[in-house]
This record gives sequence, C-alpha cells and structure tokens, in this order.
Amino acid sequence: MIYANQHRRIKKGVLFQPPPTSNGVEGIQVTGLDATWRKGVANNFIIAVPTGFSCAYEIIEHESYIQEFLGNGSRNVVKSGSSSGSISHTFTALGLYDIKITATKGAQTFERYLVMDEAITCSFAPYTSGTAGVTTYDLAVAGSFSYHSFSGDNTGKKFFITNSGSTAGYFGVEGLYSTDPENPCTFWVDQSAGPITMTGTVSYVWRFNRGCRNVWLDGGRSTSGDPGLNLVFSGATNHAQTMYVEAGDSGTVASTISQNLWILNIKFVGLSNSSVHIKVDTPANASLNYNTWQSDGLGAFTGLHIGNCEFHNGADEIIYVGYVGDFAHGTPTAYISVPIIGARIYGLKTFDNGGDGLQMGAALMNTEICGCEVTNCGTRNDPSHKNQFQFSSGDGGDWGIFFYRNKGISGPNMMSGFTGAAGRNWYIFANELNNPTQDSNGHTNIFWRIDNNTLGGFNNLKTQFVHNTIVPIENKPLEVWNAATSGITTVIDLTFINNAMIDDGGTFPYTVNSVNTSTWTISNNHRSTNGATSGFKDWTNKDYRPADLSSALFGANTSFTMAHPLMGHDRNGYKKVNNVRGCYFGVEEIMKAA
Amino acid sequence: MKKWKVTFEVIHMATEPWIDEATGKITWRLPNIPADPIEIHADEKPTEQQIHNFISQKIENIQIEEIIE
Repeated sequence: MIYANQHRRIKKGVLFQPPPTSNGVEGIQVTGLDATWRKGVANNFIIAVPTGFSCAYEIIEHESYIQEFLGNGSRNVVKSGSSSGSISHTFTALGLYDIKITATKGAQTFERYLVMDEAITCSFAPYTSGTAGVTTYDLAVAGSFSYHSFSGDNTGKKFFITNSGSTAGYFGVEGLYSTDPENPCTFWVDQSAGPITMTGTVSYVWRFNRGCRNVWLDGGRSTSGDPGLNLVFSGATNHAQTMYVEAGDSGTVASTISQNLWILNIKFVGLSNSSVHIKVDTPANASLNYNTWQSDGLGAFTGLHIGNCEFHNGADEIIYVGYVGDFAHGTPTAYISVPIIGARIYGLKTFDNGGDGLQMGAALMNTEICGCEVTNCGTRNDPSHKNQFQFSSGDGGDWGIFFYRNKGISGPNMMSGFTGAAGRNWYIFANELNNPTQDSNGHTNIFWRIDNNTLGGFNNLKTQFVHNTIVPIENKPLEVWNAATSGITTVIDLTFINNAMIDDGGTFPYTVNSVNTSTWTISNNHRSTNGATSGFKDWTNKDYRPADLSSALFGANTSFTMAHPLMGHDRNGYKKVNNVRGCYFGVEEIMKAA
Repeated sequence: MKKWKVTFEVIHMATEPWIDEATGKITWRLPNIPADPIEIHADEKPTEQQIHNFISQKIENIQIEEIIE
C-alpha cells in the first residue's frame, strides 16, 4: 500500500518512506511479572504497547483502590511513570498491589487494570535457617512436624521449614500473633533443593487454630514457577482437611478469633479419601454467632487471604470458606457462623476434585474472589456436591461478594447459590464459565434458590450477572427456584445483562414455584445455540474474545451502577471502550484500528 | 403451571463411627430419615438432578409424581 503523502514525496523525488514497522504487540502487554514480590527486594516487569502508542502506568495499593471507590479516602499510588519497557520497584509495605496501564494514541486512551493474581502480592523478605531470630523446623527431625502452641506477643517471629517429612499427626499452629501487620509472624520454606513436601497420613497436614493474627505462610516459587511447598495426603486412612483454619475453635471469646492470615504459593495434593483442601470455620455457638456479631460487632474473622495456590485431587471440595451447618439454608435451627469479612481469594487453580470446586460458605462478606480456575470438579458424582462454584446462605454483606475474572473450565454443574440468613449483594462479572460436561442427568448450569431471610430483614437481594461469557453445553443456563410454593417473601433483584451465552436455547430464565420477577432486569445478552457463528476469535479452542470489529458480540449494552470499581473492565483487565456482550471487550481489536 | 409431589429420604451421617448391628461393621452412615414430601410448581417434571440441586442436604430415593387435581 502506498499512502498519499508518500505519493507526493515520490513525485518530488524524495526517498520513499515506508510506514512505521509494527512491533507486533497487540493490546497492552505485561511480561516478566512475578506474582509474588518481596518487601524490600527490587523486582521488575515489562510493559509493551503497539507502535504509535504512548504509555503511562501506576502501581496502586489494592485496598486503597477499594476504599477510594467506597468514598473512604484516596488511592495509594506507590509508583507511577510514563514509559513502557522495564519497570522496577522496591515495595516498602506488605499487601496486594494493582497495576494500571494506559495506552494513548491521539485522542484515544485505552486502559488495562491488573489485579490480584495478574498483579503483585508483596510478601515478606526471604530468610534462611541460622539467621538470628529464626526458628527452624527440620521435618527430618522428630517433633518438628507436630502441633505448636504459642503464647504472648510474637511480633516479627520468623519460622523456617526445611527438609520434607511425613507424620501421622499434623503441623499445628495455635495462638501465634503479631501486633504489627507490617511485622507479622512468618513461615518460609527452604528453597534450595526444590519444593518441600509435608505429607500427612491421618487427619490433617496443617492446621491454623484459633488466635493466629498477622500470620503469613508463603511457600515461595521455584525457578520453574511451581509452588515451593507441597501439602500432601497419603495412606489409606480416611483423612480430614489438608489445611484446616479453625479461626475461632469452639471458643466463645471474640478476641481469640484469627485475623489477617495469608496463605500463598502452596500446592495441595489429596487422595480419593481426603476431604476439603482448605476449610475455614468461624464460631457458631450460643456465645459467638451471626446474631451476636450483629448486635455487638465482635468476633468476625477479617483479613483472610488465600492466593496463588494449586490444588490436585481429593474427594471433596477444594476450598470451603465459611461454616455451613446442616440447616444453614432457609430456616436454620442451629446458629449461623460469625462472618468472614474482607477475604481475598485469588489465583487458585484446581484440578480433579470429588466435590464442589470453590465453595463460598456461609457469611462470607465484603469479599473478592478473582482469577480462580476450576477444572474437572465433581468427579465423585455425588448429585448434590458438584458445582464448579457454590455460594451459600449469608454471603454478601453490606458491600457484597464480588466474583470476577474467574474461569470455570469443567464440572457437572456450573454454579449454585442459596439465599437466606441475610445473604445479599452478589456481583458476578467478567467471568468465563464453561460447562462441557454432558450426560443424561440434565445438569443445571446456574441454579439459584431463594429462601426467606431469617436474619437481618433483607428482602430484596441484589444478584447481578454482568458481562460474563456463559457456555453451558446442555440444559438450562439459569434456573431460579423459590424454596417453597408459598410463603417466600424474599425477592432477588436479578440483573442479568450484557452477557454472552451459548446454550441449548431453552427457557431462560427458568423459574419454579412462582418466583417474583417484578424487579428483574434481563436485557442485552448475546444468546445463541451456535458458538461458531457468534463472532468469537476461536470458538473451537474456547477463545471467546471478539474476532474483529464486525463480531456479533458488539451490540447495545444495558447500563448499570458500579458496585465494584472493576465492574467496567473485562476478564483480561481492559476497560470497556465500545458496547459489547460477554467477558472480553475486544479492546485489542479496537486498538488495532485506532 | 403443573404441580409435583416429591418424596425423598435424607442421608444421615453419624458424627462418630458406630457399629452396624446387622453387619457388625463400623460405619459412619445411619439409617435414612424419611422427609416430609414437598410440593413443587413447575412447567416441566423436575429431574432428580434438579431436586438434588434444590435440597442442600444429601438425599436419595427420590420419587416425583404429578399432582392431578
């Protein structure tokens, strides 16, 4: 192709000037980024944008970004600049950090916002055995791989785990606390000779009992990228949980509840007779329960972080965060647990487990679940425990539960949720949900059951599905059932907008027991029975990004109120530019045309 | 909208292992508890899988009959 100005130059006898050579970059790219950085240790990553774009970036402390959105202050930008290429930084504080990048060409600016597993966790600086103040647990030495009870203030206490080991007991931690979140109690593992493997043969592999506050367990990463700590079950005995976080025990003292617990970079491996990989319970007794928390605000478990872990096999769920009693849904006859508030669950990759994938158990509030992937859950084929993702009664809280940028790859049921027990404010956005499993059981793909709220008097429950790509291979993409044929006064205010769905074309949504739909908004979803003609980049290989600017995915959107600052970004972090349905916004294609 | 009567039993697990007198084996599973039938109003006959999704407890021996009025 010869451009007009080049013609003019040719006529004047000036040397032919080819157009700028493309650097081959599509969209806004980040490479060389470690998911875990170390406080006080310099690290770097690389930003690349297409030829002709200028670039600016900010590294933002995540919790400040949330608080700014909620009107509680301004964001803490720890580094900013206006260049691409290598960006280096040294963090001076622990926590989660986001990366915001803008690329500008002329009057057009595009934004990519990376968060959680796509961005940076700043963990503690590594240390070695023999360093002053470090307690070493050599698992080859009898007595190390066992229960450890602590008392008093252990601010800044460091533990180092070396050599793999096996036990018929478990590694237990109880009553370990720091009073300074920036100087926590830390568990670090020997990185010198490959992953450390802790094998349990009976009940648990690791337990955090009550009273663990400002505690970090970080397995680190090998140079190949694998987690540096394996927690493994072996043996024929029926096992309990690989890791059990009994945040409050059966105790009744609010001040003993665990707080600010970080679990990072661990590979969990179970057997067919092992239970949940990570179970987190809070008290549910006469002295400490949801009702007592409502009345006095005491006893909630705040600051739970589970990030960048792998899970393989096991007979039950991968994670089960929040206690669910036998009668927690609907009309509880037992106590509802003290809530877990402000949890951050991110970057979990799960494979081949028997029960549900990720179970967001009862009373999980003001929580973000981001960047998790579930592959082949429900292998036990238990008819009631085979959801890729499961929400229980009591989830949500005043702000909500935010499920975004996750990916369901395979499993018999896609997702289920239960109201009741004051559960409310579910926001499910920018997720890719697949369900290729097909058999004669007629699996439901998203199933919501409405129970009357028994606590708190919340009767209009926000339940929003916005900008997801939902690909169920069979049966109904969404079912909503009232818990009974009469007497249900609770209504879910369902918003189901701007999604892309490839399904069987049946009744949508399918309602049972006279569900009240008067407050529902269902609009501007792309729906088809044929993914091959829906304008995806590669339907066969499940690349659900818009193929080009003429994709059928571009179309009118329904506006919505942002309950989370990233509801307007897609699963890859791009901020919406044009109206599009589904979890990918096609920004790379729009940038090509800029 | 059609009406359906659903009967089922709840699987009952013990909190401690116990000896099954009939077999002499140690087991965690107690005899099932018959549940009160539930009524469901739906256009289509519910599948067993849908009933499993609807009842959060572990259940089995599900029977589904249309209620003819």
